[in-house]
Amino acid sequence: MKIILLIFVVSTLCFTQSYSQSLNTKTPASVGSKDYLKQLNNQVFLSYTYIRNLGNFGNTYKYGSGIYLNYGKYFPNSWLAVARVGFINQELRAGVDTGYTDFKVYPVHIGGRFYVYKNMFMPYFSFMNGLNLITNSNHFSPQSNETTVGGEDQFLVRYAYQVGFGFDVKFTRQFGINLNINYNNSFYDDGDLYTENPTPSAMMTGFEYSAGISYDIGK
Amino acid sequence: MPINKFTLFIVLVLLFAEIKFTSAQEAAGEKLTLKSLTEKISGPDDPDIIKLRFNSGTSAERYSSSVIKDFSEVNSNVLSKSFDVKSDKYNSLSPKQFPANNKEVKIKLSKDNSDDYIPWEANRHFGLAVFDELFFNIAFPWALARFGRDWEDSTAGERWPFIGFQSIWSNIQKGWNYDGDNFTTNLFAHPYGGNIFFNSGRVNGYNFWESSAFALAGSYLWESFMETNQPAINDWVNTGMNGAAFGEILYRLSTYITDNQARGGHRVWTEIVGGIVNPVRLFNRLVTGEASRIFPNPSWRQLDNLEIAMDAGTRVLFEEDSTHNPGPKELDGIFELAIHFGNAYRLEHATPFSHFYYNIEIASSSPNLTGMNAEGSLFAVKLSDKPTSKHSLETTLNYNYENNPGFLYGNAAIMEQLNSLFKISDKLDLRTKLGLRLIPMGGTPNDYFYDSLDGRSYDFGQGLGAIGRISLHMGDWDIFTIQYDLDYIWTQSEPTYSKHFLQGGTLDFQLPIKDYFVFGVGAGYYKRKSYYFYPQDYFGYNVPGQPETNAPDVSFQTPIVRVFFKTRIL
Repeated sequence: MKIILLIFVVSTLCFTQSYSQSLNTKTPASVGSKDYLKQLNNQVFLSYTYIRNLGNFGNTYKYGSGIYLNYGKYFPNSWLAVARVGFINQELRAGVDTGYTDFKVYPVHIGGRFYVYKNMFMPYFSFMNGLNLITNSNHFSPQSNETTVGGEDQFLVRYAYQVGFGFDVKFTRQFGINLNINYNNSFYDDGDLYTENPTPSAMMTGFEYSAGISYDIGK
Repeated sequence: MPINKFTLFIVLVLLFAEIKFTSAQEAAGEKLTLKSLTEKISGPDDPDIIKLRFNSGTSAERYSSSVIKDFSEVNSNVLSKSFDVKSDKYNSLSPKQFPANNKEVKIKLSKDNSDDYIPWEANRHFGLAVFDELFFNIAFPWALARFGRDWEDSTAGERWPFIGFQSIWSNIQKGWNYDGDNFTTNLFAHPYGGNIFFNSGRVNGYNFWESSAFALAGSYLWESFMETNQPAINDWVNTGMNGAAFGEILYRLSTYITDNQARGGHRVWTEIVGGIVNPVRLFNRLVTGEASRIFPNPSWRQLDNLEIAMDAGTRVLFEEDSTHNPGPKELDGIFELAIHFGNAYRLEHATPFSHFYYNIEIASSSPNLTGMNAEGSLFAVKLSDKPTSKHSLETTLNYNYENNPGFLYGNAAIMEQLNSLFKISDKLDLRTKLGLRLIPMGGTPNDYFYDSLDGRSYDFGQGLGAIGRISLHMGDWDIFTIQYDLDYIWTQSEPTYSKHFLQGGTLDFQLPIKDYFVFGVGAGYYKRKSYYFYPQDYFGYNVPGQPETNAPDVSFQTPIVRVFFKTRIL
């Protein structure tokens, strides 16, 4: 929750700051206001992400957190194609035993953004999709007194998508920050309704809040 | 009622978005006409000298180009230019023809050109596109289901239209799953619905890719918000991908059927038939007055690019089970309509669906809609173009629907194919196609599963496939064609304990009797091999409560023989 508040506060500050600057027609072009093509053309951005899980999956895993490394290529007039890889660790709720201690997700996604306004402050809608490489494994400390025997390590490949919105703020032609909020959905467990002990489906759903920095790497 | 408030909220949001999007589009560097430019003029001092003040404090860079040297600089902030707007060159001006740096531009207008009609589809219209999308394929069908059906009747089934914030939040929490609808609903009705979503964008000036986003977004809205059921990913893919393929073809066909230069009864009837093919386009043409206006047709609407052929004949299906025991034999009448637009072997590719193929097959016995296939080019790369041979690498969007008593299969696919043409003589050439298919969604029967609630008796999954095709082409006809297809589907819908290997082969001969008429015979077969691996504790449907662990693998093959006459309409 603290992270969400922090993101909110930083976002608000950035928004108000950049919006007020965007209204100032004397803003030098080099700071960014008329330079969006160069700013967006070929950029790398690194972001921290926090996912608040929902539904049956959220009953087991409280939240996920991790990083994304993104690459964006601009296509006139408002599109940014994005490819990214990442690492997300899911935090098990206290008192819940799944038979595994570690749940890690390695997203490999492609997608795009549609910028609705291009200036120093650039809001957009985004859609990403691709594969989540998921590992379920046990890493008990030898010093601990753990007696639970988990299942065999699992490796799963599941389709995932996210849809949301966010904004870029460019402080210089090369450097900026990025914040976004997405709704996430990745296939994880279909459940099994046709066995003696049926289990409901547990898709990975949740709201993702990310913040990061972007850097234009030029042509 | 919560839904009414919610709908009102969505409409207000979209109206707000319309304003923002419109300005965003203008700022995004679309082609501007003199008419639209003059609308931006405020208070000209001199009627002959118009000051244009671009609202471009954000992005003057897009106005900069080498054309700037054509303008004479009056002072550091004003540039001027006079030109004759009667000239075609300046009839439509790209923003790049204007100078940079947020300066004023003076343009002397020698004639008001505002009478020139700009077709509705020449510019994007977000507001009407969203209205079409929300009304035709969301509000109208939802209201029809919610209020047009007696839900108190015990046979009415699941009360899926009784939505509210609770159902929406539940859907957001649960995420995607696979639904239990029957084959025709999922593999035909959803693609058709997707076509409506797609055309909401397409007939309002959006290109193929942007309109595909309309199809995906519309389906997403419906699945997440307009049903109490858990959202179904199979619906999303079938509506979005197949809807785009189906929609672009129907958009182009409708444009061919209607003729903007026609008058009188011919105009009325072509508008009606074009409207049946593409109802959203008819609605727009009525609203904008284009249904009765005389104006130029789109440049790509050239009838020599279009070939339409019909054939009628008889089909004999022989069913065999896994032990090759002959099953029932079925004799059907078959009618087929096949449409070719453009030609992959001419190596001309400009936009998505610059060429496409579409066919629909109607059988005399149930199921009457027995086949439908669509294939449209997305990208193409010319590899070689010599007098004796041509080769191209092409990416296509494919929609396939096969539903006959011996074979059930539907998919949405993207195919990468190598097209080759080898010239044998002036009138004779050999054409080949080799392709690999990526199948985001395929559906084919499961022999041990039946969803008693909704009726699904088949599996959904992702897969890979391949195609090989050789044809001997003479004049306008394929004289001899041999084709082989194979697909492999890994089941992802519940229960997931199966895999399917599907094959199909055809061999056709066509004997031209006239330039426009051929006699043909064809033979082929469909084959499905399904592998099952149910766990020990799986409780099957065939014998409720009993484990399905003894379910053996199943193999079906269905030979087919066809005799037909084919005629070319165009």
